[in-house]
Amino acid sequence: MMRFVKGLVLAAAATAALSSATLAQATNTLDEIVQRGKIVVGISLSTPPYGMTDANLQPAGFDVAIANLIARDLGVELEILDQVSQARIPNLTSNKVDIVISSLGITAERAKAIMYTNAIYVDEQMIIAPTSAAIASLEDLVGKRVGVTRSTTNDTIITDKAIEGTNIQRFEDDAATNQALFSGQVDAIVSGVAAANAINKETDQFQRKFAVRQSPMGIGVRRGDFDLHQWLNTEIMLLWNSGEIQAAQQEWLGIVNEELPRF
Amino acid sequence: MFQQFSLNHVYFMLTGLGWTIGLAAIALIGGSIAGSVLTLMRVSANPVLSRIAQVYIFVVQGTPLLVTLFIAYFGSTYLGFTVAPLTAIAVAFSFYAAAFLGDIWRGAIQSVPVGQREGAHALGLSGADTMRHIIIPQAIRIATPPTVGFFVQLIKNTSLASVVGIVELTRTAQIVSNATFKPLEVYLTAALFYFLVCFPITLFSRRLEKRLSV
Repeated sequence: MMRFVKGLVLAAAATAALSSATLAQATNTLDEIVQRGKIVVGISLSTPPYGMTDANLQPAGFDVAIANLIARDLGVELEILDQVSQARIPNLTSNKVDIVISSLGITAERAKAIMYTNAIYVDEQMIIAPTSAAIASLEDLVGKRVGVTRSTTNDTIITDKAIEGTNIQRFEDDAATNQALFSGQVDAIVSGVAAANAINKETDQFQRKFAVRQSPMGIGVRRGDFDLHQWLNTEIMLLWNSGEIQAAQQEWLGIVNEELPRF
Repeated sequence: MFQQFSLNHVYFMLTGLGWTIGLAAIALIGGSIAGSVLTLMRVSANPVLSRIAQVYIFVVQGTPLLVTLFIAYFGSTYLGFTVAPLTAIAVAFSFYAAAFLGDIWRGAIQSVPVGQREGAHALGLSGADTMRHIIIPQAIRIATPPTVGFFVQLIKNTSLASVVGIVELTRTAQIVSNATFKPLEVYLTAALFYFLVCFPITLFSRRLEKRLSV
C-alpha cells in the first residue's frame, strides 16, 4: 500500500515537472488568432448581466459586447466557448481558449496563474439584504446566513473579511444565490452592482446595505503571451477613448465607471 | 432585462437534452466495453491480471467522476496533447463506468453456484464454453438490476460534462435559469426531461428481468 502511494506521489511530481516544461514553451497566440481568422473567447453564459442569453437564446451581455469589439478590431471571427466559472482559468491555461472575458475579478492569487489586461470594468461588491433587516456592517452579519456564488471574487472577499460566526453559504450560480435570498434561505448575499440593479428591477423588498470592496475586472491572457496582452491593452485604451467601453457598461451594467485603473 | 420562461427556452433545453442523450450513449457503450474487459481480467485465473483490475477498481471507484473528467480534459494538455471535449468525456466516462461495471459483473459471475461450473466441467465443456453457455446467461439475470441502476446514475452524471464546455441539459437549465431568474420552473422542467429518459430504461429492465426469469 505504501509503495503504491509512493508511486502515485512520484507520478504526480513527474506530471507537474512535465507540465511546467510544456507551459514554458513560447507561443504567439496573437499571430495564431490572425492566421486562423478566429478568436476563441471563454465566457460564462450563466452570469448575467456579464454573460447571458438574449430572447433568441444568442449570447449577450457586457462580456459578449467587449468580445465582439475585440474580434471586430482584430478583423477576425468570434467564437464564444461557454464555460462554468470553475473552468475559467483551466480553460485558458490548457489552451482551450485564447482569452477569457468572464467577469474575471483581478486578484493577486489568480495573477500567479494567468496575466490580466488593464481593467474593463470596476465593480463594487456589496451586501444585499431585505429592506427591513438592520444590517450596516460586517459585525451585523455574525450569526446570519450569507449567500454567495462559489468560485467568484465575491466568495473570496467575504471568506476573507467575514467575522467569525458568520455563516457563509455557497451556491452554484447567481440565479441560485439570488433565489436563496428571495426565498429566505439566507439573510443576505454578496453581489455586484449590476446584480443588485437587476434585483431592484424585480422587487423593492431588498436593498443594498454596504459596500465590501471595489473589484476591478480584466481580460485573462495566458502567462507569457505578451504580444496578445499588449495588443489587448492598446485595444482597451482605444475603446475607452472612443467611448465604446462606456456605452457597453451603460447598456448592460447600468452604470459607467469614471475611469479604469491602468497598470 | 429578464425574460419570461417561455417555449423558446424549452426548445433550447431540448437541444441540451439531445446532448445529454448522446453523452449517455457514449458513456454506456464505452463503459460496457471497458467494463467487459475489466470483468474478464477480474475473474481471470491469472493472478497478475486480476490484481491489476483490482487496483484499478480500487483507485477509480475512490475518485470523483468530476476529477477524472478534469484530468482527462485539462490534464492531457500538460502532457503535450490536446483532446476534444467529446474524447475527454468518452475516456473519463468509460474509465469510470468500467470500474463499477467490472465489479458488478464480477459479483454476478461469482454468485452463479459453483455446482454449475462443476457440472459443465463434468460434461466435458471447455472453460470458454462453460463461461459462454452456462455462467454468463445466469449471471446476466443477477446483474440486470444493479447494471440498470448504475446506467441510470451514469445518465444523470452526464451533467458534469458542462465543465468541459458541453452545453448539455443541466447547463441549458443553468443558462435559462440565469436569463429568467425562475430556477424552480426551469429545474423542474429539466428534472422532467431526465425522468423521461431514465424511466423507459427502468421499465425495460423490469421486462428484461421477467423474461429472463421464466
